[in-house]
Amino acid sequence: MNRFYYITSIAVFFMLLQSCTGTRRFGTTIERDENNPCQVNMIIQVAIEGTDDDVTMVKSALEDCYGKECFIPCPGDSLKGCKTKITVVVKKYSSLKEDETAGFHYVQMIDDDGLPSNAYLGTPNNGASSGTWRRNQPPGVYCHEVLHFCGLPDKYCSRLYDPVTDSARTELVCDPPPDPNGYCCAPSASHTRCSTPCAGHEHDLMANIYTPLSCDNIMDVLKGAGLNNCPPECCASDKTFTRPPDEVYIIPGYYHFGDKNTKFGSIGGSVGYTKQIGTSLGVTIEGGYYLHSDKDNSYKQTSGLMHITGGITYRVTDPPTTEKGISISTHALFGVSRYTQKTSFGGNTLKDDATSLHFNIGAAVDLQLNRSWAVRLLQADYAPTFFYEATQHNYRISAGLVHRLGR
Amino acid sequence: MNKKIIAAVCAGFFFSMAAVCQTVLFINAGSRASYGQQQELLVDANGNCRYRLGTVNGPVKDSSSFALLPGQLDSLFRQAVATGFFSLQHNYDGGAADGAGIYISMNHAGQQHYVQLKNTDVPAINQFITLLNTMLAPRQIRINYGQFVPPRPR
Repeated sequence: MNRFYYITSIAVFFMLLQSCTGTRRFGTTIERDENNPCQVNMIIQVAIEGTDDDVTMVKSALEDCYGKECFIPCPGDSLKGCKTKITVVVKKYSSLKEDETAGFHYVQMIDDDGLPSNAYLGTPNNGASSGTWRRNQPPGVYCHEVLHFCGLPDKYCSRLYDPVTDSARTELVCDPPPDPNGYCCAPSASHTRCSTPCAGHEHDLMANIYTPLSCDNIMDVLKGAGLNNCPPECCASDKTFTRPPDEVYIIPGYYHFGDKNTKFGSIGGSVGYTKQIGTSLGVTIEGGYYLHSDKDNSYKQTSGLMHITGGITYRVTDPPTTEKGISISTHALFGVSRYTQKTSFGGNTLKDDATSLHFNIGAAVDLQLNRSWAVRLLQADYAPTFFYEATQHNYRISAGLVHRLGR
Repeated sequence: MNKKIIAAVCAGFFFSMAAVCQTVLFINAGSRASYGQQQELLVDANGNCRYRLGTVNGPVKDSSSFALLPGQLDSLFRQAVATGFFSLQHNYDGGAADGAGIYISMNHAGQQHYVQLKNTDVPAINQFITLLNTMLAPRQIRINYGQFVPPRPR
């Protein structure tokens, strides 16, 4: 009996040790989150046999490429669903403990001789793979090769012309067939090898290394692990995520402009459009105009402020899908502002204008009314400008309407 | 009648020129991906070479024409025969995606054969390319199909 307790204790100890290290058993691990089955976690572990600079370069390239969330819609409601979370772990091979190496894809770094990097196709949740990568190649190369580690095949075909036999040889065919044009591409005596993306993959990272990683790529990887769906038991729960819709907004408001020399309040409005590029992140473009006017018998001065900005919006909380509820977002925009002033007195008119950089950092609180409309209860912005070699610490308070598109 | 004679002479001249200029050794080395550089070498029966360095689907970066020294083409063919080139398989694939490789095609003494390698190395091919590279060294050309990287698959 004592022996049973002894063996059990040792087994528990090693299980705890394994969980404490945070290292997964596979090069590519895909699993449902233990706290929320509506989140699919994808952990990719890569060990670099190379220098510290190699590790830094690859880590940077892969984190930029794979810093992406994707949405897996529920079967019955495409606005509800699961989301993916991708974590890329890049370590120096020599820093791994012996029992960790089996859980990392192995990459040997060599100097760039102009030839492509390579990778052996791996399988998610099953061992790890390997490859030989050239240094200082475009980030898309490393991103592409990691998708091979995750099990995705190439999506291009290639042909080679043999001048000795005056015939074209098939090198790589599209899977599934057919090849584009039926013959892939046409090599010749003056260019003996050619390659072209398979049909429908012209903008696929698996065919073109200068194309960014897409959610289609991620879904293909998840498919290999059988986790490319949001299961009914999840969709029936309250743990699903909401696909954030694109939105347009119009927000009348008060804009306070000024520095230590000049200050005034102005009234106007802005309109903007936010396109969601992730479950929380969106790209926003906004334009607005605000007007201030002073009038006194024969003296009249009007000051106008127009801005055009673009940047990112981050959703702190998801908007509710159907029912009423509050959502919060923040944004950081950057652009230009144009200041115009017209002064009239005693029959004379003076005009002045200037252009400046314009920053806009702020937050908004929306109240959802229905699936398509929300009221922007409050938007507060700090929007500094830099007219006349001074810094104006401007702020803006707005409220308005938001229309969520595609709902 | 005269026209027929002229036509026959022209045709004979054309075919004899084609035979003289026929490529007897062709090499495409380098990228086996959708990007990266590749080298092309075409050698005719007289040892005249055309060399190009370019990228897949991209422009030619470098090109040159030159002649092998007398006897060098025969040495290459002797090496190919000695290492069993004409009885090698057509395809050798290391199994990795992308990467580099080489395609060699020869027409010698009535025998035509081609061999292509991808992400792997075959001693006979390596020896042949080593000999070729010594002949091309004065031209600052080195055929590279990744044979300088020791393969280390998992």
